[in-house]
Amino acid sequence: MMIGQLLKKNIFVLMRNKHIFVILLLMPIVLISILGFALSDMMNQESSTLEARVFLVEHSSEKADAQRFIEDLQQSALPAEAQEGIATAVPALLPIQILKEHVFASEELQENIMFKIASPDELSNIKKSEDASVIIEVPEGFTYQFLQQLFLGQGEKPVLLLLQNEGKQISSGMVEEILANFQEQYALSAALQEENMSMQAINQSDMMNNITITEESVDKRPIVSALTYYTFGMSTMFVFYVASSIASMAFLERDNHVYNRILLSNVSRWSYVSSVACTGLIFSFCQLGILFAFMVIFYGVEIPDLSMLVVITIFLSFSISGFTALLTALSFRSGNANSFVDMFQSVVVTVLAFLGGSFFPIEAFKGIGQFTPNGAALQAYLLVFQEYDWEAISGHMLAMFIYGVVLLGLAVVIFPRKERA
Amino acid sequence: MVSILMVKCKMLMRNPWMFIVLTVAMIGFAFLVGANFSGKVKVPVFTQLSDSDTNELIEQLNTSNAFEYIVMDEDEALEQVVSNETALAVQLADEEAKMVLTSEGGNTSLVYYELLTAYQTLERNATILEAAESFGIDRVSLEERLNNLQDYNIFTIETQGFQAKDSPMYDSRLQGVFGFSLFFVIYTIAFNVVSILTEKKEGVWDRMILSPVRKWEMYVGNLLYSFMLGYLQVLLVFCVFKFGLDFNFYGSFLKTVVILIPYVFSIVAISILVAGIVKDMTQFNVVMPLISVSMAMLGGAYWPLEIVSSKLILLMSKFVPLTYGMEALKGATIYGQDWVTLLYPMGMMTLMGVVFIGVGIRLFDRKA
Repeated sequence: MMIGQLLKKNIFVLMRNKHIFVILLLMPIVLISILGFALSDMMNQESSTLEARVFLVEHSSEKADAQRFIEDLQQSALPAEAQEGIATAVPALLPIQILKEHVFASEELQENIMFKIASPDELSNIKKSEDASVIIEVPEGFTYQFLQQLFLGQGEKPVLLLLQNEGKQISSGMVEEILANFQEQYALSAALQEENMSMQAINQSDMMNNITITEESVDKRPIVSALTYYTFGMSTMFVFYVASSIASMAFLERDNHVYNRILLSNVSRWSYVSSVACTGLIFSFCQLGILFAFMVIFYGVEIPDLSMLVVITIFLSFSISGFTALLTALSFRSGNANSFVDMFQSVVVTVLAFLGGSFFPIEAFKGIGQFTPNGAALQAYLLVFQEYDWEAISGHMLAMFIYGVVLLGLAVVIFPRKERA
Repeated sequence: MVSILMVKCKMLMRNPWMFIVLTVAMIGFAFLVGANFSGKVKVPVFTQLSDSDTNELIEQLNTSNAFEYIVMDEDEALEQVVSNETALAVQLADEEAKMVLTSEGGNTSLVYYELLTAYQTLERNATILEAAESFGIDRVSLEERLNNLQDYNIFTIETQGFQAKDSPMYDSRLQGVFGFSLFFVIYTIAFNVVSILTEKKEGVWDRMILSPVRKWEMYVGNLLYSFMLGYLQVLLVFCVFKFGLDFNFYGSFLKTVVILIPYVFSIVAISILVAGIVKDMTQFNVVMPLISVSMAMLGGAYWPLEIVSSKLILLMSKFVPLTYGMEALKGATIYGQDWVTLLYPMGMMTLMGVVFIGVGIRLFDRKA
């Protein structure tokens, strides 16, 4: 009976405290919203959102270079026939022109690449604006050296300069890849030439064979979106603040001698601890419920199986009630200001959240995460979103349940039996 | 001022446990983070191809410097995906590959490109070798040539950064390590700064005002102390990465250590600002995690800012010192930027620090 009364009191006291709403609801909502904004584009369309802005800067005219090469050719000792053959082939092989008109203008790349030609004067401006992903700088005489290499195999190998924006590693890497491919095509034909084989002999369409690479989930289950992942990641982190908030309320009561007066009214200390634990359970359940409802209403997160979600939430709340009781017991025992609660809030929560995968999928941890209560809950929630059944989540449920029982047990052991004066 | 510092140090000596626990926690955390990001990300692979085809593909794939592809049987690979031990597994088949995953992540597109390139290279070589056979060309020598294509390059590509001479490369390990250390340090620094809130509440400050110690000395002494402790802790963490876990700092370890100075300063400044705004310890404890987590998200500690295209978020990230901290740390190490280039992010952090500390002290001073 008494527990009910104490519970009522706890709820009233907590509801009066506005901080608690800030910490328990506003904070995760703000963070999830930041995430929603930041990741929304990443989610809508997969990789195609990445746009590389490519600027091409030429330090000399390609035509003049080609002209110079042909003039040099005419002076050379090559037989006239060979000279003519090369001269007619040159216009179709100008590398920068191919780059401009074929490589970067190709339809496949249209979506991901914005290609612009800029003059050398603009170079420093482009570098300063953070707009560009890469600048391809064609040094003076590039084409001349290029043609000499290609046809005569003499002179120095020309160097194409690829300037990459440090802030855009992914898209500039993409362009690097494209250029490397371009480079390889020439190398390939040169290599084949040495075997007296020409590129024409190979069916080019065969090479660009339809290679399909698809994304698929295990057993065709739905793929969990980044927003869903982080919604549950953040929720399972912030639920810990229920424990610390309630524990600090309880400690305040001890400080204000409210606790002593409760004991005087012939209420057993175990009723008090139970009421604290129950408050933890109720508040964390409500907090999670409100957060999930918020996500469903404002971000259109769809919940596949409500009953499973509710049951997982109850189990998670149960383990949080364990934390609440333990924190309360520890701070009552030590009698020292709020040091345990502070420590919990700043260090323990962060470490648990990190291990549990709230910040970052727990890839390399080889499953340490699922042995934290929040990690187990997160995994279970994710399994629900992949439409697994009860059996799949039972292990995680057990983990949360054990946490709850062990922590409550510890709290009972640690909670001071006799109040020191 | 010196006397304040002395008092602070004495207090620390008398009750060092909190500090020691925090530092140990931080170093442990550093080890965990470091271990998480050390080495390549492992990608389980299962296959429907013959052994020789698979080996060829795997060999090609494992030239990657971000991922390590490991062949295992299907059940085992899928089990790893389901239990979230790995972000994705790859199924190889003839002319197609499947990436099996449970939740979306940043690695998917990278693996996609690597798979595509590997398949294309092999496909190309196969086509050429096939065609060569009809020409009666020696297969072995041609294969040799195809494997050493770079010797036949007509031109070379030299990559540079916009700001620096070295070519930038994607180093997700350092990104992760820097991100988490900058993030976690906020907690420890805030914890050090907040002691002045308690002191003020307990009336220590009132008594100090009565002493010959000047007000500015009180502030400088306290903040300097917080700064030094915070800096010491980050330094320890970075030393763990450098000497304990052998991370590659690209020879710029000293630069990173210097970059941390304005960063720690700006975080001390933010902490005093928050201490000036909030009413009591509880509120401070509420606001600080909110600020640190959102700063970490906005500043690119969790994911590189490049994947964010929202203008609003990018604008907000300009007002977060962590953004500049990440920029400078990555600049100094991965891109090998020189001091002149690093001056901008370091200057921004200092500027923000000065503004925050100015406003913070004013607000803090007005408190009863």
